[in-house]
Amino acid sequence: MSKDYDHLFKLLIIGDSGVGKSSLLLRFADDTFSGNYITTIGVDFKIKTLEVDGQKIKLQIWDTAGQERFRTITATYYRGTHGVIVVYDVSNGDTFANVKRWLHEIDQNCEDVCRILVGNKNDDPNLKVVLTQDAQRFADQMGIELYETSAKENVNVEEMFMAITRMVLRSKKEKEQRQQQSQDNAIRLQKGSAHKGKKNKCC
Amino acid sequence: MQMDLISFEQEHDNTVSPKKVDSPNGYGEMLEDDQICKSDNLNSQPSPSLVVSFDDASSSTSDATAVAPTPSSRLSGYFNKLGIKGGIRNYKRRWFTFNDSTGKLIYYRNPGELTPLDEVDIRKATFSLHPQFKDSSFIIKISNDKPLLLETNDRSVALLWFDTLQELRKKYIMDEDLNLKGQSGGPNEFYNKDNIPSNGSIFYDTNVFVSNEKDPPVRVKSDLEPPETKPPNRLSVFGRIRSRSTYLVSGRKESNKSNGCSQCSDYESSIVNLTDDLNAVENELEASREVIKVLQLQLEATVREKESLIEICKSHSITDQMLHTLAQREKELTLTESRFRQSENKVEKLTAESQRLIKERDDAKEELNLMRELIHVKDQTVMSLTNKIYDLEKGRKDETANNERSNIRKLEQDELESLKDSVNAYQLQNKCLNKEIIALNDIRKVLEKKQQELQLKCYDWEARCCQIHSKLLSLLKELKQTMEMSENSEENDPQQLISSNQSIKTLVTRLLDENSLDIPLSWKPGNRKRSEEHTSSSADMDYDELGFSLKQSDCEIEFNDKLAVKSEALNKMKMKNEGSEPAVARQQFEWKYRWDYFIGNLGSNELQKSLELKVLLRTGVPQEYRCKIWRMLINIRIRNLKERLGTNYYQNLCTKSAECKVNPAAKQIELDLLRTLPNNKHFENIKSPGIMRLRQVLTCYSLHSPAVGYCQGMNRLAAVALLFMPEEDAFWTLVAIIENIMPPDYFTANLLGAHVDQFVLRELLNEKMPNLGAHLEKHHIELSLFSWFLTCFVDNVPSNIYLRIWDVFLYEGNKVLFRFALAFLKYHSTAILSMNDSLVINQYIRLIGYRTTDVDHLCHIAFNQLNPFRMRTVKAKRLHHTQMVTNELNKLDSIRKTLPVHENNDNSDTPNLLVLVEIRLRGESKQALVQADQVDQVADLEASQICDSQTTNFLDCKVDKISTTPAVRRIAAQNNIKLSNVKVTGRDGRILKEDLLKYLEEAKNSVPFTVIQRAMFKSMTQSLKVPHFGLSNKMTLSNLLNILPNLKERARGIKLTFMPLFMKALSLALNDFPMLNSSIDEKNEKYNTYGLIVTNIKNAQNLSILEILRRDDLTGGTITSYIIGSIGGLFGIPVISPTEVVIVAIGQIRTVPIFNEKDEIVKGYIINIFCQRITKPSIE
Repeated sequence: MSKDYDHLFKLLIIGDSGVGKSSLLLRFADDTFSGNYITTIGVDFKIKTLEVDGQKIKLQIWDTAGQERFRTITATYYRGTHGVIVVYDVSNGDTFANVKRWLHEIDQNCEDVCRILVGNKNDDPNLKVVLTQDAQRFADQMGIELYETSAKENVNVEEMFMAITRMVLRSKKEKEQRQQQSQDNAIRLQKGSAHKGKKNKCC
Repeated sequence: MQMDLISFEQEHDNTVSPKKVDSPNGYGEMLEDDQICKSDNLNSQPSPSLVVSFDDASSSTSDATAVAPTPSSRLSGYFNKLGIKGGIRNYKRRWFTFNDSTGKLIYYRNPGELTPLDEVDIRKATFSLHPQFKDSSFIIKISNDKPLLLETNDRSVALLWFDTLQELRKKYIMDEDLNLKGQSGGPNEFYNKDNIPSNGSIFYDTNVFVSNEKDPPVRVKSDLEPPETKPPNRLSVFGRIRSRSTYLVSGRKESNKSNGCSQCSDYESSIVNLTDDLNAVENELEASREVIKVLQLQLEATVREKESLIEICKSHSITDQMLHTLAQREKELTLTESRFRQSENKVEKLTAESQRLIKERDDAKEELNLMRELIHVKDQTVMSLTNKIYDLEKGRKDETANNERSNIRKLEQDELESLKDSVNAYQLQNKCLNKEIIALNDIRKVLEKKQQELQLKCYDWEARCCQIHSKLLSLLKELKQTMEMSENSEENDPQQLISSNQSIKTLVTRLLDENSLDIPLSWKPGNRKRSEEHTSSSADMDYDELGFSLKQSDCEIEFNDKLAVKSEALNKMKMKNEGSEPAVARQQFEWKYRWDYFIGNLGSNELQKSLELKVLLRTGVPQEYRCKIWRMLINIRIRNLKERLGTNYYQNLCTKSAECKVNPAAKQIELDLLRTLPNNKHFENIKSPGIMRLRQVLTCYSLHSPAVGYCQGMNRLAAVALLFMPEEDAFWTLVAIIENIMPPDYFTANLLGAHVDQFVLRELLNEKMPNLGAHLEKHHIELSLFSWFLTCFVDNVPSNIYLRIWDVFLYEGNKVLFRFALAFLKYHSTAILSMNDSLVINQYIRLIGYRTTDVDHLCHIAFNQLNPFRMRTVKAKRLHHTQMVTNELNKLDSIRKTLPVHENNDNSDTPNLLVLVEIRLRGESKQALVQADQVDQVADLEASQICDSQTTNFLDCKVDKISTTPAVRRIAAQNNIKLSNVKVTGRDGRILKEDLLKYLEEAKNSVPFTVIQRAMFKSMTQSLKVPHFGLSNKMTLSNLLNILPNLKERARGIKLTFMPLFMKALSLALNDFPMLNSSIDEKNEKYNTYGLIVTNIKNAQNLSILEILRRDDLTGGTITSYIIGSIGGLFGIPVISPTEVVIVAIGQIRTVPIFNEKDEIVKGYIINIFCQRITKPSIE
């Protein structure tokens, strides 16, 4: 069976309960929106195939439960994840305050993973409490990209997912390159160094 | 042409007037026109126009005088004559002379020539200047003849010639006139003209004048001249003659010289000539003599006249001067008179001409007008004709177009009409059909309603019938009892009879009372209410009877799947609905009947646990009984708790919740209210009654159990309960599920129970469906069915299925969850096994609930195919995993505590709980990575940092590190490999790159340990640490087998195996060696001896050897024995379980020939026993 994609990436969406993680995913994967999407218990996932720079990329996007106590369950899903999407609700300051905790959660569970910060529900300026500049400052501080989206109005959703996919793709290529390089280096080392030096240096 | 001619003549006349000469402009115009005419003529007949040009005026004239052999005083000179030949202009130099005698201008090629080229009659000629040519040129034109253009370089010469020629012409014309009228006066003028200074080109020859004077009146006229002027005239004449003779002489001389013989003839001819000359001279002389005579006569006459005049003068005393002036005046007078006449003549001519012209013009005008009119008329006709043509063309076009169009239109119209007709017909048909459909639908609805009603009624009646039936039976029983009693105590006690009668009476009245109650209403108030809602709802088609939206129920599944699933479901439904399936219908009926019967029997009694109820529940509870049955089932579970908490507990909680405003769980509850059952109309918006109740129930529960608070998933449980029960009962349902049915810690902060159940489920899967388990493991699929366990399948499962599950779940407990979870997988096992892509499998399993259409089949799998399914097994597994998970949790807790602590916003949750084994494993690998990284780093830095503190680490590492290259270490680090695991082939235990790659290759193909295997591996490795020895023996069982039949008889149907016998024997043996009945305390290095014998072996015959080892219910034992014989094993070396001291393996019983005491070979029964025990001298 031939693969119908060039890359398979696993993405994870985390963030507080009710920030719209499932809605974002639903909007991206099925282009639908429902004001009251059923609560996610444990984890759920969707698959979406898209094309970036001429390469077909299959995304397996895991949507997690936001409630604190489900973290024990969702932690399993950090394994093998290529990118993590941290979502907060721009109309709810607490969810933004918890972003730090979620980022910490990533650090705890993942080695090297692409991250992206997403302020969802960015559709009503009157309800917005987390200002863009604050979020941007924080994102800069943490060295991650910030996107403000609205699953309801379909604003920036596609762009955000494309951005994280590109990020993941880039990091994968860099890794491959590094690996290649290190292998090349290793060969050169073996060839170039004499037996004596080898013994001293390596072991 | 006629006109042109006329104008030309006119011009000719005009030239006579000197006025015209001064204004050449008018001429120019005329000439131009003329020339155009001429040029036209030129094309037809090449007649070169002659233009005489007076070339190089002074020199040419001088030449003329010099070269001319006869320097006569004639008007002569060189002119350049313009000749146009074929449109090419060229000037030719010609010699022009004016012949006075003929009055003609003659021109030659050269002055010496005799034959002239042409001559121009000056009297007929007109002169003009032309601005087109040089101003030093003038044109001579004769009517009907080509004009002569003469050109000279000097303007004044040209003008002089012009004037002179004019004068000459005038003179000749005048002479003609004089000849006619006998008047004179011209010569006078001529003389006057003589005074004009000449440039030398004009020579005045009186001789010419004289020779021309043939007419005496002229001479008379000239007599008026003063006599002084005469002599020079004559002189010149003579001079000319003289010069001519000299010329002749010289010519003669020349001829003498040249020719000798011809001289005679020459001389002769010259003599002839001379004689001729002489004659001529004589003639001349005579003539002059005659002239002299005439002159003398004239002189006399004049003298006489003079005398008379003198006389007159004297008489009149008039002076000579006066006379002279008078004569002059007279002369002038005549001159002017003649001029006047001349001009009068001209005027007359001109007027006539003008009249003629005017007439002509008028004619022309008339003609013009006529022509114009004609043209106008023609134009009009042309216009009208073109219009007509246009119209005709247009008309034709239109006509053709119209024709075509009309044809097409006709066709179209015909077609259209026919189409319209058909459309109308179709519309009509459509309408009719629509109406028909609507009507049929209505009828169908009505019939359905009727049917429903009838069915309901039928059920009611059936139930009533049953009830009555049962009552009747009980009544009859009672009656029978009383009859018996009456029979027995017929003669004894009438009192008793009366009392029995009374009891019958009361029974009858009670029954009657009960009968009077409306039974169906008593058990379905909620249902009735719901049915009312159901009917009142306008969009009842969109919702099922429970208020679930039919549209969204299966929106989760992809389109293709949806179709397949739906078609299957519809098929099922069809089968059920069709009367052609009487079996199904009968089953349905029987099922209903059974429930009705059951409910009827139950009466107002409390539900009791019974096999009948269990079986009945497994078939599902009818919708209308669910409320009642569920309530009863819940009540069974929490009866005691309820009693303990008191009757008003819920109400108290409600008031408490109203008072208490700071509920940590409230925020999350509020968030989840609308996200509970969004596809159910009772929970669809914030004002729905269901939502209010849900909030109340959840809030009350969070107050009731602060440890649990609120956990996502509970909302679904409460909502489903609320579908059938009032608020309070829903609350109690929640309490029952969380605190009674589910194991502890299921919904608490760390979801421990739910976690453990996932491991248990995995294990059960591997046991029940090993191939499916292996398949999932092969594709690294983590079964994540938390949601099913946390919500009792109210997640990704259609409501009809989960309600069936709930029916059983409430009665049988949470084992049902495993049953169904596995049943779902088994239901789809073939489909899953056929898939080979982890993504596809994951996606399939995600929506497995919606793919399941046959509930009965699912239930059948769950309750029959998965058997045996014992609660004990589940509990045992749970216990095992709970320990494991708790251990991991504690470890991770400690790890987490070392990490920076952050704020905890959700008070209801306690953070710092990371449970999973995987994380721990990754933690280890993390450490390995850190180490590998360090090594790498140091290797890169090399000797430069030898003295650094890091190097000490490096050196420390180095001691127990495997020798290899940094590159290999890097690869190992990247792939998460422990280098110690890699098989070494290099020199001095060095790991080569090839080794690592090989290892990686193997790792790709290898399957990681399952949880079970890991645990097993762990315990077995542990056991190897304990020093132990083995002992094998054979035992004969002949005696035992002898007593076996006897024992079996006493067992009374219980299946007797050897196991209990062995256990008994072993336990009896332990009595003799109590030291063996102990466990090792590794930490304290001591034995804990127990006086009690606890045999822990259960179901050993059903379990594999390996399983026995990790059985949770075996932990804490002292001796383990296992029977390998049941699987046909003869020998086995068991591995001692940690903390135990002895393990015994018992092989299969074999029939072998043996020697008895009497050395006879008999049939004997032998088993092999292998015993392992801890080596300890004290035990020995």
